[in-house]
Amino acid sequence: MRRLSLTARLILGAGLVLTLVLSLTAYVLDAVFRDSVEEAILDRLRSHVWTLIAVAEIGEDGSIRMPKGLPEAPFYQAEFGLYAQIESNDGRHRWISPSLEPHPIPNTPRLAATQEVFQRHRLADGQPVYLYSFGVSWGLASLHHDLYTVSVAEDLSYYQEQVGRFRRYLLAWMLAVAGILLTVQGLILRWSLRPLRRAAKELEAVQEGRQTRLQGPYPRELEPLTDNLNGLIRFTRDNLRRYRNALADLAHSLNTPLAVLRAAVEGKASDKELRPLVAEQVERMSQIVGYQLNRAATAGRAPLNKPVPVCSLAERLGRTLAKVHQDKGVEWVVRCPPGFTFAADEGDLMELLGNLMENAFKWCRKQVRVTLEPLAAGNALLIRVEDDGPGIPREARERITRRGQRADQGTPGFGIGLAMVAEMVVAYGGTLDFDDSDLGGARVQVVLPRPGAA
Amino acid sequence: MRILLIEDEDELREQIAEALEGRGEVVETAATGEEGLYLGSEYPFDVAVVDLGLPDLEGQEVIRRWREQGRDFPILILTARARWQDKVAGLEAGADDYLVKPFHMEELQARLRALVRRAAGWSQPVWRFGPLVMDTSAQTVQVDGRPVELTAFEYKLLHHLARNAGQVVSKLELTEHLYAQDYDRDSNVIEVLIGRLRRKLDPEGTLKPIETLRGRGYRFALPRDEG
Repeated sequence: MRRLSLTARLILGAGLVLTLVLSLTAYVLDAVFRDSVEEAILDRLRSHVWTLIAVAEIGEDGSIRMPKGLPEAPFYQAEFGLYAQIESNDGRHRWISPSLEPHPIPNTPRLAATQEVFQRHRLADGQPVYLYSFGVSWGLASLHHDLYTVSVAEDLSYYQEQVGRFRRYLLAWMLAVAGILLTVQGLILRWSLRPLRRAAKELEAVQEGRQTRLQGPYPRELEPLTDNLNGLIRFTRDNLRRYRNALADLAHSLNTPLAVLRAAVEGKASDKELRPLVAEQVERMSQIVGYQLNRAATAGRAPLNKPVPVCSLAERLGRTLAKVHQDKGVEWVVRCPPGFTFAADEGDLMELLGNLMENAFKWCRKQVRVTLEPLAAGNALLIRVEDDGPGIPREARERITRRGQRADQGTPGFGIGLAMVAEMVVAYGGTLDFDDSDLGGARVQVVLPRPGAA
Repeated sequence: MRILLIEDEDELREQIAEALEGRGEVVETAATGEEGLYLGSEYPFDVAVVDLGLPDLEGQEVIRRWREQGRDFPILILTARARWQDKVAGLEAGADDYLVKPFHMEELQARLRALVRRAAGWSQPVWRFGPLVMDTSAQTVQVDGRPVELTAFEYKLLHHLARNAGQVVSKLELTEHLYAQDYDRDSNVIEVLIGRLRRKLDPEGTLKPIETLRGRGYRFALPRDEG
């Protein structure tokens, strides 16, 4: 299954968060606004109640009279949506505003003096209203019971209109904000992912051979990726070149002994003369094949190597060689900081160490010493192999280390081992030195830079 | 020596077997890992030659299984892959030496001889038992500094007894190590050979190098010098 694209992931994530945050914000704003609208209604109803208390006249018998020309005109007309009612708590006297006629407000509360209640309520015809009721005592000595409840009600239409308008505004704003945020997010995303798209395009160009590497500069986060890709591209190209060279060299160097053999077979040589000739040429060809195969198999400066535990590598080789040279009873030691690792191709390191150590085991009288050390803060590896054998003659040293020396053309006595080492060291851009060891024999020292190290 | 050879390449297997047999060794061959594993598990051998690149069962695996079963004959691996990783893996599996193809027959022969000698506990090719001295690389024998002329069979017989000095070696074991499988085991040729060997090594009858243990076999009785 195809994985969700990065853009889709980010947009989806941002969209979810945005929806959540905006919904929450809208809910809170709405609640606050509704509260404030209700508060305003309460204030207004309360002031109406105070006006009514101020103008109402209570008779000696407790009857309620309202002077003509009530200052609150809205109470007279139903279309203003404002209603008032004053009722004695014993239910004997009642006044209702003309806007209420003919039915009083049902089930109004009967309150003690200064008690107040604000609530949603319904009129007799079922219309929903906000109702504010207030308990009052006129303090008339003639009445032993002079508690009244003054109620004022207002249509919900005002409230509904206010809240409705606010909600429409809120929705419009929230949608606008969400739209802007998502657009900006998308733009940022496009902008951020552009280097990735460019890298993909460049890689395609490399594949099609229009380009040899990814050309920077890339953002810091991508640099390790593009650097490694470049390393990989370079490595692949180098490898291809090396294989081609090795094949060409192989074909070229096999041709000579083949020509010799063919000439001998076609010539007048007797069977007896042919035998040593064939043996000699076969030996030569076998050396050529061995050398060239090894050379082609060298990984060289491949990037992305995992760290190789070089100490145990040397120990394993030591045990193997000690087993093979058991008769000699070689005293061998590997000096290596415990747990030391070096990031290079394990096969190459093994080849290098194996060839060096094999020579030491072969030529030593009794002692072999292998030293492994990190150099340049772990960016290079020092390999020193020493023995107490006869040492390597000066002129042989020079021949082995001379650049371009074709090892398959023979360094008698040293096989192709050291030549392979020299070849590999060159492939790694390292150094190879020969010296005399304090053990009495040869000291071969190799310094390998870590592949990929600057 | 009784040698087990596992090599899948027919031509090379025949050549090696022929060359070794021409030098008087007993060679059993196997073309596959399974067959070789079976032979090595069931029959006694002095040394095995195992090609690493077998088609069915990796040479390394054959060696590992032998070692798991406690088979302790020395093993030489042949490999066409000259990389150290292969050599180390082979030796870590339990082999004792390696030889990279192509190789010289003399080299193979010398390595095998050295492995067998080493397995017998000798670090030198010259074995000394007091007055009797065997040079296992030149394949010569001297008693009191006087060379003793032995036929190839007599030498092999003495070599096998001396290699197991102090231990009883049955007639059956001697037959198996000296002859190919299908040899007639009822023959009394071993007794005849032992008799001839005794006369050649010890004409006066003072040294008594080989004891006969009735019904059990023979024992090389001379104490071994260090070396």
